[in-house]
Amino acid sequence: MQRKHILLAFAALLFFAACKKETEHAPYPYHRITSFAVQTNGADSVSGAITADTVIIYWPYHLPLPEQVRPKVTVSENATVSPASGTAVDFATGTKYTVEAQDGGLKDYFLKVIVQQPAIQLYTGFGQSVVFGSDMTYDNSTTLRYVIRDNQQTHYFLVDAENNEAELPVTFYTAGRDSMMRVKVPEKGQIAAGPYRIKVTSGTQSVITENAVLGVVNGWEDRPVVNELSGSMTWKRGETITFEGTQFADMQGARLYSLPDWWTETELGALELVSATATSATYRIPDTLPTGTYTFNDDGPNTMRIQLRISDYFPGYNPVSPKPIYVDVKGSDTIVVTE
Amino acid sequence: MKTTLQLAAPLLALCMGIFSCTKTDTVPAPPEAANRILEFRIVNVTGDPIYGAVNDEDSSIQVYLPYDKQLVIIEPEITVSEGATVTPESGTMVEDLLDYFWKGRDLRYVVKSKDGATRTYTLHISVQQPDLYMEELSPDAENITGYELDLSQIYTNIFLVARGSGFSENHELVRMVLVKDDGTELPPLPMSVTNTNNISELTAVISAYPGSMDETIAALKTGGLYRLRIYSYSKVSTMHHPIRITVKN
Repeated sequence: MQRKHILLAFAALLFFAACKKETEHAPYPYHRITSFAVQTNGADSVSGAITADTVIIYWPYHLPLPEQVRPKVTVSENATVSPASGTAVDFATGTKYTVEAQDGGLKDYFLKVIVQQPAIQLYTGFGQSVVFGSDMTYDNSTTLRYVIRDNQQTHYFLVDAENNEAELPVTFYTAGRDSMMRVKVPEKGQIAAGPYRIKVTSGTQSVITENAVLGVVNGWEDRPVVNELSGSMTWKRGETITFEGTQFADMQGARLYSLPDWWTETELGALELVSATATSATYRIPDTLPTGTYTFNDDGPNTMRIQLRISDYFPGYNPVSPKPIYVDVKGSDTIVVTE
Repeated sequence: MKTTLQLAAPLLALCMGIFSCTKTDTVPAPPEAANRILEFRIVNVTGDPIYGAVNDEDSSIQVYLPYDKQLVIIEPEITVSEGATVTPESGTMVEDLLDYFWKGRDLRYVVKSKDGATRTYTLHISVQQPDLYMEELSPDAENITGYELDLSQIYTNIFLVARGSGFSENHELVRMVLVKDDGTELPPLPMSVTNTNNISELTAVISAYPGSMDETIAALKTGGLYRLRIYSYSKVSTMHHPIRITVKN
């Protein structure tokens, strides 16, 4: 008898269960993420933009980027999401969410974190030069804007013509109200003198100047110094003349000019460099130099001045508009130019 | 008999069950709304579009513009449910964002499904830029800094130098205005501009000469206290303490 009751109850259960099914909906097939929000700062949050299988989070650059977040996630009706809403997840591109529809269908979404950091703005003006071992400063409100003021995240490089990069150490500091960045230029010998492009990286951003805008140069105290001339000199056209001095390096040609009317330089001729040592430079006297007697280092008619062209890489050099740099030959006497 | 009943009852029930099951029509899952915005993307930028976050629960679209693109017009491309239409249509520019940021404006999109059901989305645009911070020109409410324009001079001017942070270097996105006690604004002040505009300092110049017909000078002649307000792209900030500007004839 008891067995019969159990069977009857079972049968009834089956019956009612079957009947109950009449009012049920088919399982929902929907498995979308319908909203996704990440807390930014206090009560503020950013909403994720959901496209295909990606949840894009645009993160404001001026707020620190958290390593983990607890996104609030909503999904299609009757679907479930894993990890669940409010669960801590890595705040990084690639973090996966899986939505399971009521009918068991699965859909994966992947996070994409985009830090909307402004492009670095570097103002280089019209080019400049800096001496080995000196400091350069940038004002982060004017000349170098939108870098992260942290020398772990912001790096400064000089890039030469062969694309070799030299990183220069940077220091962030404030001067009064001004937010500054100091760059230490290497000592002589660590990098070559010459023109460089500037590259700055900061966080996700990077900028490099199109052209060389910074010249790294020798100090003026390192320039060649020419011994003063004394006595009367006779130059024979086509022969050579040697100037002696100290710190001669990278000597180029020389120029002869006069100041006949005291303010306009008139070229008399160019001296071609024949040979040079650290203490002397020898030049050929041009055949075209007019013969006669010149008063040396004086102004007016029949005068002559001499400048030896040295390396371009001295203060005054500008890689944007390089101009030859000369040292004056001093002394006072006469030069007689003969055939 | 007992055995028969014992066997028949569950069989009968089972038959009834199966019978009733076969009669059941499964109610399909209701279709998703057919008047939805599926995707909203800003395309007048180089590189990837900027995607808006579409929220069906509150029918909103939130767009986060990057600070440095300095967009004042956006061109959204909108994808809607199959067969639906959207007004304004995809590709319609949203213009004068500065006006939207500074004065506020309703930006709405109406999506109509093919069976005629409509849903209205509201577009919210924000720029991911730092807040504006300004140092006060007057040390406190009791010690009000005064400025004087002496119109008896051939030329007279005052400089209002606002120091702080978060100012845009692009002065086309910036306005400096004086706000009267009653909340009304004077016309925007002329600002000094250089090729390295300072993002932590802004300078307004008010200049006058005898007989100048400047609207600002005319307004300033009524005297009183003013607060300096700065609009910078999507942000606005007003000094807490007023300054006094006196115009001397």
